[in-house]
This record gives sequence, C-alpha cells and structure tokens, in this order.
Amino acid sequence: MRIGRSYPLMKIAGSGLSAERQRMEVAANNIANAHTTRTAGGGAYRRRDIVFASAMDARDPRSADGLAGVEVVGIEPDNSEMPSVYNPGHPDADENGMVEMPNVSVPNEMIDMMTASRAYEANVRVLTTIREMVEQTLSLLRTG
Amino acid sequence: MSDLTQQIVNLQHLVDATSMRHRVVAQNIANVNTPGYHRLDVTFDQAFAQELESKGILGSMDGKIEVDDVSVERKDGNNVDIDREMADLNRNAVMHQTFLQLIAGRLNTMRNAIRG
Repeated sequence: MRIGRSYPLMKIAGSGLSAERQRMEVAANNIANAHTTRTAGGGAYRRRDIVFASAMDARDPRSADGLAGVEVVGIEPDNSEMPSVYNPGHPDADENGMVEMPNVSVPNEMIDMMTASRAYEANVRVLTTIREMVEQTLSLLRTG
Repeated sequence: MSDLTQQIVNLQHLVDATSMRHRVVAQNIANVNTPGYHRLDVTFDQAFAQELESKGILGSMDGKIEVDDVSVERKDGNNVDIDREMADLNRNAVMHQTFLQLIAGRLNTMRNAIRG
C-alpha cells in the first residue's frame, strides 16, 4: 500500500478506538453512579447514553477518500423513568419515605462495556494489520 | 506475457485496490456500534479483468463503494457482521502480502539483471 494512504486508514481505526473508549467511559460512569441520589442538577443520577454517527467526508462521501470512521455526536441523558424505593431513613427521602434512585441497570452497563471492549479489540486488529501491510511495503526497499 | 515493468505496474494497481478495500473494511469495523449504519462494500468493474486478459494491461483500479442494504440488520438498524469484517480484513491483508511478494520477486529479477 502507498505509505501516505495508510494515514487516513489509521485515522479510521483510531476514530473507532476513541469512540469505543468513550463508550466504556460512559458505561463506567453509569456504573459508578448506580446509587447516586444527589446531583448538581437536583434529583438522582440519570444514566448517560453515547450517540455514535458514521463520519463521512462531506466533499466526497462515495469514494474511499470520503470515509472518516465513526464520530461521537454526543453524550445524552437517558430519559426513562427513575425508580423509587421506600427507604424512610434515607436523607434524600421525600415525605412519603420514597427515595428516587438512578435509572442505571448494572447488567445493561456491563453488556455495553463488553461490546465496547470487543469492538475496541476489532479496531486494534485493524491497526495491527495496517502496520503489517506498511512494513511489508517498506521491505520492498530492502536490497536482497 | 507483458514485460517486467508492466507487470510491476499491474501489481501496483492491485495493491492500491487492496488498500482501498482495507479502508472500507476499517470504516465498517469502526462503525460496528453505530445504530442505523449500513455496511459499505467495494466492487471492481469486470472490465479490468477483461482488459487484463486480452491486453495484459491493468488500468488504474477505480473501485466503486456501495451501501449494502441486503445484509440482515440487527435490532439497532446496523448490519455490520463483525466476524465477516474480520475475515475480510484478514483475506485482504493476505492478498496485499501476495501482491507485494510478487512485486518483490520482479524487483529481484531486475536487480539480478542489473548486477549481471
């Protein structure tokens, strides 16, 4: 492969690595806050979700040069209903003794974590393959 | 049988083609968790093969990127199959290596001819 062409390729794999790492960060943050009942915005912690979008170069979206990997569009709060538990002794309990708990489900977060880790692995594999391909190209220059 | 230089140029185009396919596979793998993403596929025109067959000359490989709307989607609307992409990645790397070995062989022949 042309050495110069391998850089955009590495950028695609790199965008995958970075996106999957951020996905893991979000999952880790959700797990860490699975029991947080107080936040700066008031109320219990709302789990965050990461939004991915396929990145295409606007100039030429249908050629190989237009491929730009994956893009993290945002980290959005999950607006599903917050569960309440009866715990009158809790400092954040309301007058009925109900405490609002975060809408984090730890098993779901673990699964997110595992898929992110697998996808990360796949992107690492792409990078290693590119490196091997470039090395083989460079070896052509070695005089026999 | 085309001459040595033509063979090297032909192989070079093939190497370019593998590097293009590699990019498409990398894009698919990077988007394995993007909801609604449809995998891309690169196709090369049959005309290249015919030209190679008849004249022994391979023009610059200009692959076309197409969106695969046929493969089965997952629940999130994404139809990337990671196993398939990894297999494509490996196959493509092996093809790349093969072409480079062939180029290396021809370069060696040239080198020997120069050395005498």
